[in-house]
Amino acid sequence: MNYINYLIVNKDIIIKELFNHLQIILYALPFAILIGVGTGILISKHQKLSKYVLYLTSILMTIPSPALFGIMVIILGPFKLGLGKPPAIIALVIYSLLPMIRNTLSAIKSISKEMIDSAKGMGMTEMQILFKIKIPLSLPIIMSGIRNSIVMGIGIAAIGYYISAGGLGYFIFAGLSRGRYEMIITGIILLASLGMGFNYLLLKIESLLTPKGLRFKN
Amino acid sequence: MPIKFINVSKKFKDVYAVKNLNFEIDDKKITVLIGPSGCGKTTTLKLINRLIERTSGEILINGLSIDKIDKIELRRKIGYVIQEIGLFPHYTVFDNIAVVPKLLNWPKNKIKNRVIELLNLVNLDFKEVINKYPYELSGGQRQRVGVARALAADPELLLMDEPFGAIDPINREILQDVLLNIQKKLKKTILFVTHDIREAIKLGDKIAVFKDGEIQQYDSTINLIKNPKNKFIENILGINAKLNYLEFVKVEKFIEKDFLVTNSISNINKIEKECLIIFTNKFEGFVLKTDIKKGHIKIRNDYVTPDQSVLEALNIMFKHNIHCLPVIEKNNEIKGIIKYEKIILK
Amino acid sequence: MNLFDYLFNNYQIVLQRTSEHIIVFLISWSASVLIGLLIGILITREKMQKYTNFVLTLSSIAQSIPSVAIIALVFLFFGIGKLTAIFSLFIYSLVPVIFNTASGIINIDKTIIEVAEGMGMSKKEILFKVELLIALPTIFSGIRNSAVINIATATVAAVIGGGGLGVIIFTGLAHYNVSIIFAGVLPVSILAITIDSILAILEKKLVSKGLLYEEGKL
Ligand SMILES: Nc1ncnc2c1ncn2[C@@H]1O[C@H](COP(=O)(O)OP(=O)(O)O)[C@@H](O)[C@H]1O
Ligand SMILES: [Mg+2]
Repeated sequence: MNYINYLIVNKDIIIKELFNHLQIILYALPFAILIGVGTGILISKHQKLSKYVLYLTSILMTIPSPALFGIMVIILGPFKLGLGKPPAIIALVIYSLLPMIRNTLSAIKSISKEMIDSAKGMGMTEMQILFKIKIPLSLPIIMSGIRNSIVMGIGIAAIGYYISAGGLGYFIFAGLSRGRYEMIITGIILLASLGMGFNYLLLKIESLLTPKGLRFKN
Repeated sequence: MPIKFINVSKKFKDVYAVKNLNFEIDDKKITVLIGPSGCGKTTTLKLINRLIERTSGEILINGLSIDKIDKIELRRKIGYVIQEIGLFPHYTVFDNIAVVPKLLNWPKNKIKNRVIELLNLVNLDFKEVINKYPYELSGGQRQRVGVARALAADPELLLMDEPFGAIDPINREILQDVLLNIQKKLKKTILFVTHDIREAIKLGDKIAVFKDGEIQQYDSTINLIKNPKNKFIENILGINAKLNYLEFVKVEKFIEKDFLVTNSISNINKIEKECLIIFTNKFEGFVLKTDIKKGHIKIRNDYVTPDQSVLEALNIMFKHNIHCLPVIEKNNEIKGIIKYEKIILK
Repeated sequence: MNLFDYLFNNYQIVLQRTSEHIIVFLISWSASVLIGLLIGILITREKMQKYTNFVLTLSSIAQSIPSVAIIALVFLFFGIGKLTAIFSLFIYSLVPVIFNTASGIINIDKTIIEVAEGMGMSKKEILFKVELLIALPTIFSGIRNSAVINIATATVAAVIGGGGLGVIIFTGLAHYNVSIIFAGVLPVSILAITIDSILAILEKKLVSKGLLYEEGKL
């Protein structure tokens, strides 16, 4: 009963921080997708470069997300951008870039040479090959990269609280330091449902975007 | 290892996969199971190594019920080869072949010698392949390794489920010859599943034709071809069965002793037997009964070796319009003669 | 103010936090690897295979819940302290090990298992000589993932008394002090990259070369 009371009293702030949280993710996402998938496609043409980039992204991805936030603050500090939403969004873009570049690269790499050759043999142009073969065939893997980034992003954005970016991190971190259980519960429920919800939604989109011929039961 | 099926049935849910099998598999012979897809061939094979447990009936190996033998032990004594081969991708050729000997705790040296021996047996250059992984081999090479692996612990019984079914025709022929060669040397009891009648005729001492989980006819290859029991068998055999048979059956199966030997023909005017072979310290030619006309003798030089096909012998006979031929071993030893009327199937 | 100031002036603190981080990581991570492998193996045994898919689905859902939420949840039940932190890290890094072990094993070509049975391998021999060895690349990527996730989450677990380098980072973020942030970010990044590299080397040593080209059926 207490908890419901809390929800009613605080519904405005709950909605506000949920919005803040979504805002950070949704601002970051288009940039991350465009840059990530684009870079992936561009460098997939160069064997050596792809290898280095794959290696580099795998190293960067091992850096813990709070540390990455810290790095952002450090880098953006001199530009007076160290606090608020911008560094949170930028950090998220950079962090999500990594799985997207990775998945795009490995998706395109996994398309057999024979298939590309036979497309060339049929007289397809580079552009046609890209849009009619490479992208549709890599879409499922690219999509799963996007899904991973978003799900990761939901968690990472929570750290944004520490740099005054707002978001659901408020309920957890402020709740913990104030010992306010109802805040913590609210944070857990919202973050968990956001993570699971987006994951489910994106899985559905993934399976819709998968060309029929590539669908198989897992 | 002779195997006896007594009233063996296997049901999946309510459907019989095989029904009332009653037959015996001869020791040291190749028995082929043939029939359309889904007729129960694979099930029959797996009932023997107990990958599938029968619903009813009894299977005896060497007169002993397979239930009386520990399942694991039973399987280690039976070689098993399947179409998909199923080589272990994480093992080299050596380790793949050494699996069962290692399970049996053979000493290292013995295993190594055995692997080399087996690779030679399946005509693979051991130096070239022994350290390779399956992905580095061609399909034909992989199945050779598959066969070698099955033979590793020298099992008396070999179960082969369409082992060459996924291999291109040319390599399939070669692998069949490899198998026949192995069989000549090792004399295993082999149960071989195929849906290719040509392969069945080529390899099988006996053939069992399956339909809907039951045996339609079980007979020696020659009898099956001579006397197909019904329309279904005739269809399975197809129009080329007889020709196939002649192509695959070796001359050695028809050797007769109806001949005489001489080292000189200078004073011959009549031959008591069908054929007179002239032999000094090597084969010099032969003379047929009908070749002596008014003191004039015609000497012929043709012959066949025991491992040539009957069809080749027939070709020579047709070409020269004769009805028998000497059979000479490569090292110039007289084996006998082969006669036209014995070959021809009615 | 210099970036390295805090690091140099307080290197004992940084060292102490680093060793704290490593200990918390090692305890929770080795427990999750051991128990994760065990559960992954158990649920793929013949008698348990009815539940394999259920557990896989469950763990993939669990992976979509942000680590912050898990940490807060464990806090709700066990309160603040090192053990709570270790337990939440254990839970969170357990999931990828279970998931990859189970999916690695069930994705092995069924005919290979059948042939192994047909050759007279016992269930135990099949597990240790065939299933685990063939699933090893997948298992390893789960273990590596688990380590990286663990080190990152351990940073966040500072907020429930886990100690470690997270303490430094969050202190730095709270004071918007770039030098302090850096003193936490640098060692934690080095730690994550080092552990992952060690595991990568181990993986290369242990995984059979025959599995490198697993495309194309054998
Ligand atoms: N594990 C199984 N469960 C249910 N039905 C099976 C199973 N294995 C085989 N069958 C059925 O048993 C019949 C015989 O199969 P099989 O022995 O594999 O045939 P073949 O090898 O001659 O193609 C088929 O109808 C098949 O569908
Ligand atoms: Mg079959």
